[in-house]
Amino acid sequence: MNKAEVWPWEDKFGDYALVPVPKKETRGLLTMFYTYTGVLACIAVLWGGATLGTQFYLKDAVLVAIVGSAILSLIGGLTAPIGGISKCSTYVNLRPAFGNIGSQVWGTVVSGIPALGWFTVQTWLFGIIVHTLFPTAPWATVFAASIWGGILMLITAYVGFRGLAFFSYLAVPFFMLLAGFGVMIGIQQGGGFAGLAGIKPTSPAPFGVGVTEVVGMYVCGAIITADICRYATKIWHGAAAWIIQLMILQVYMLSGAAMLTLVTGEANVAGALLAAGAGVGAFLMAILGQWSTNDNNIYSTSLAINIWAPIKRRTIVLIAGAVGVALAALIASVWGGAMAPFQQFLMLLGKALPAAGGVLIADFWLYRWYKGERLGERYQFQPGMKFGKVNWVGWVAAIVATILGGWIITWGIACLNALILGVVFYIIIAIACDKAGVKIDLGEHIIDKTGA
Amino acid sequence: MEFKRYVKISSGILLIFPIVLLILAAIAWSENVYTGIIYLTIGVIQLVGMALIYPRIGKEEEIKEIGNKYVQHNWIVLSLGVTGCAMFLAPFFAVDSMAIPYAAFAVCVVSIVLSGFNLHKAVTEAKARLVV
Repeated sequence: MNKAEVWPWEDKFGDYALVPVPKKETRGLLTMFYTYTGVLACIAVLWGGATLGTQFYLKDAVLVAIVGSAILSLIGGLTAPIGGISKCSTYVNLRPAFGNIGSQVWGTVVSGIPALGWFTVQTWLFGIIVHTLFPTAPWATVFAASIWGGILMLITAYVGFRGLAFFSYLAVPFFMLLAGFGVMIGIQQGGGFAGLAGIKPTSPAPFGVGVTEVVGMYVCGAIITADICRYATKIWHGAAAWIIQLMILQVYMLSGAAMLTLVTGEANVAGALLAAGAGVGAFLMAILGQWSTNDNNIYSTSLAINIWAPIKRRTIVLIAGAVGVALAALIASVWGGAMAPFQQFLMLLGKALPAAGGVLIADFWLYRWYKGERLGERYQFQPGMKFGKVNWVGWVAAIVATILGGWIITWGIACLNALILGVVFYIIIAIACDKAGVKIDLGEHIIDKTGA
Repeated sequence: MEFKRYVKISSGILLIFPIVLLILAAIAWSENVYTGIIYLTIGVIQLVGMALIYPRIGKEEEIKEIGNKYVQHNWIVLSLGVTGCAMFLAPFFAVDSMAIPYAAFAVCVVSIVLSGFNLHKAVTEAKARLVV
C-alpha cells in the first residue's frame, strides 16, 4: 500500500511521534544535512575535542576522532535508512526489536535519559563558562552559576520559548568557525603543525578510551537518527547526510578543539578561548548556543517520557529539569571545573547505548532478511498491526551485550564491542528461537490509528 | 512573478556585502593573516551560499517553493553575519587600523538586517517554511 495515497493515521501526539510521516511532509538531502549539523554544532563538541587534547598527541587525537566518527557513521548509517523506510520515529521502530513495552523503556533509555544527562552536564559546563568570564564574582562560582543557569534554561524550556530553537540554526557556523579559531591558535602558538604534533598531552589515555568518548558524545544521536531521517524524501538521504556531517564536520571540530587545548594546556575550552583572545562576543554566542541546545535537551527528555507517562509535558519538564539542575549543582560542588565528570559521562554513554542500537540494526537488517522480508516491506506499520508487549530476545541481547562489551571485556574498543555483541547475541538467539519454535514475543499489543 | 523578481534583486544586493568582506580580507591579510582568513571564510561562504540561489530558482515557477529555497539561502547569510559580529572584534583578530574590523562588523550587521527582512518577506509573501 502506498502511504502517499492512503494515510490511515491520526497524529494525536503531534510531530508524527507515533505515526509515519506522510509523503507531503518529506524533505531533501540539504535539509537533512542542515538539521544534523544543527544538532552537531554545539559547544559540547568543543569540550569533547578539548578532552582529546588532554589525552592524546595531535596525530592520535585526529585518528581517535576519525575512528570514533567512523563507528558513529556505521551505527547511524544503518539506523538512518530504517527511518527512511518506515517513516516512523525511533520509538516506533524499536517495537519489533523490543516489544511495545520495550520500546517505551528502551526509547527512554536511548533518548530520554541521555538527554537529561546532557542537560545536567551542559548546565554544569554553563557554570564553568560563566565562572571563567567572571572569576571573582560570588554569583559566578561554578556551583552558583550552574544553579541559576539551569533554572533559566528550565524556565525557557517550560515556557516553550521558540526563539531559542531558531538560535540553534544561527549558531551553527559560529561553532564551526570557533573550531577553526582553535586551529588558528594551535598553529600560531604551537609553532605550526610540526610544533603542534610534538606537544605532549597532560593526561595520556589509551586509544580505545578516546574512541569510546567520541562515540559516547553522539551515540544517542546515532541510535535515534531515524527521528530526523524519517522526513527524508529518499531512503539514502538521511544516511548520506549523517555520514558527511560526522566524517567531515565532527572530525574537524574535535581536531580544532584538541589543538586549542594542546597549545594552551587548558582543558577548559572557555578558559582557553578567553586566554587566546576570542573576545566577549564569542563568549556570549557560546553561552546562547549552549542555552538553546540545553533547552532542547530537556524538551527531548519530556517527549521521550510523555509518550508513555500520562502526565502533562510541562510537568515532566519541571520535574526532570529540577533533577538535572540538582545533579549539575552536585557535580559543581564536588568537582568544580575539573573535567573528570565530563569524561566519565562520555564513557558511560559510549558503553551503555551502542548495544541497544546493535539490537535494532540486527532486527531490521539481519533478522527480517532471514525471515524473507524484502527491504521496502520491513517496518511498514499499519493500524491493527500486532506486536509483542515484550521481545525478550532484544532485552537479553541488549543487557548482556552492554555488560559484557562495556564493562567485562577489557580489550578492544568498548563501544564497538558492545555494538557487535548486541548484533551477534540478538541474531543468534532470535534465529535459534525461530528454529526451535520458541516465541520471542511475550504478550500482544495492537496499534490503533493514533499509533499508540 | 513579482516575488521571484524580488528574490533575484535582493539576492544581488546581498552579494555585495561578502564582496566587501573579501576586499577587507585582502587589506587585512598582510597585517594579521588570521583576520584575513576569517573574513575570507565568511565572505566566500556568504557569496557562494547566496549566489547558488540563482540556478536553484531558475526554472522554478511555484512561489512557495521559491520562498522555501530563498529561506535556506538567507539563513546561511544571516547565521554567518551573526558569526562575523561575534568574532570580528575579538582581540585575536585585531589589526593596527581598527577601522577594518569595525567596517567588517558593520557589513555583517547590514547583511543580518537584510537577510532577516528577506526571511520575513519569504514567510509572509510566499508562505515559505521558516524552519528549513
